[in-house]
Amino acid sequence: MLVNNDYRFTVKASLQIMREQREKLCSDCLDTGSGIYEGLHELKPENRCLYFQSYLTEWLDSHWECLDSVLGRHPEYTKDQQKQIILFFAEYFSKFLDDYDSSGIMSKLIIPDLLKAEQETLKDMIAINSKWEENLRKLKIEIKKHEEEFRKLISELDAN
Amino acid sequence: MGIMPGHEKVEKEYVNTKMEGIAKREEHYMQLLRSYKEEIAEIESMMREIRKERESFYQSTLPQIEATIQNDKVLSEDAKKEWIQELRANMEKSLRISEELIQKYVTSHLAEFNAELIQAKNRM
Repeated sequence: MLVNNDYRFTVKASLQIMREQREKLCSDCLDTGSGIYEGLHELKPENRCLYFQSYLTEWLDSHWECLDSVLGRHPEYTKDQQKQIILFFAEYFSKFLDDYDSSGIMSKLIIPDLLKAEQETLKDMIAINSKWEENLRKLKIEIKKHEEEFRKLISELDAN
Repeated sequence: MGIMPGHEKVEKEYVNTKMEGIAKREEHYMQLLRSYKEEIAEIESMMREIRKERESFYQSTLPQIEATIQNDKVLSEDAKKEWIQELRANMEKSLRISEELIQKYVTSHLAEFNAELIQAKNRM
């Protein structure tokens, strides 16, 4: 269990990650060289959708990179404390992913079940917390897979 | 009907004890509040930051982004509309999750506070 100070750290770290990622989203919207603008300049709606989905998936996944870097800055945390922090974040992140499939650009994913698979892993991580490390590795592999799959689809689009 | 002298004394003692109890409880409550002062201020500051961030997004960041996108005359209106809608939805979702996180923090502190209050009450 998390003791008071760890709990405070966990909440603050999670808030910091969410805030940093919101800032990233806004600054990418102002950066005309970002993936968002590649999508904005696509005339065909399906191509535009691919770029937007690629950007948003990368943005969602970067929340986990951010958590990694926060934990990396705190080597004083024991493995068990890290586990509690990751599980806490996983719970909220899973809620964050919850209604992506009901509306918006991510509701009709070009790579089917992309978010569903991630949510399954998160749910397993929370439910069987003895296997949290295994599921975290699985999640990181899924993140890599997202990058590769989108890169492949975008390069196919560019080639045509 | 008059009150029997003995009864009056017992009643006075009862009132005094009760008053002492209330005073002690209040004192302890104040002590608890003082010891949670930092946390209360922290929660207030977390909530204030979220409010400020949402306000700043709608009042300054979003109009700035909209202007940047609108200035690009090559972009289709559909593309612009689609992205702005998506941006708003994602920002709102993220802000809501942050508010939920703060709420959870408040709830856990309230539970701890109430438990301490009950303990103090039982000790009296």
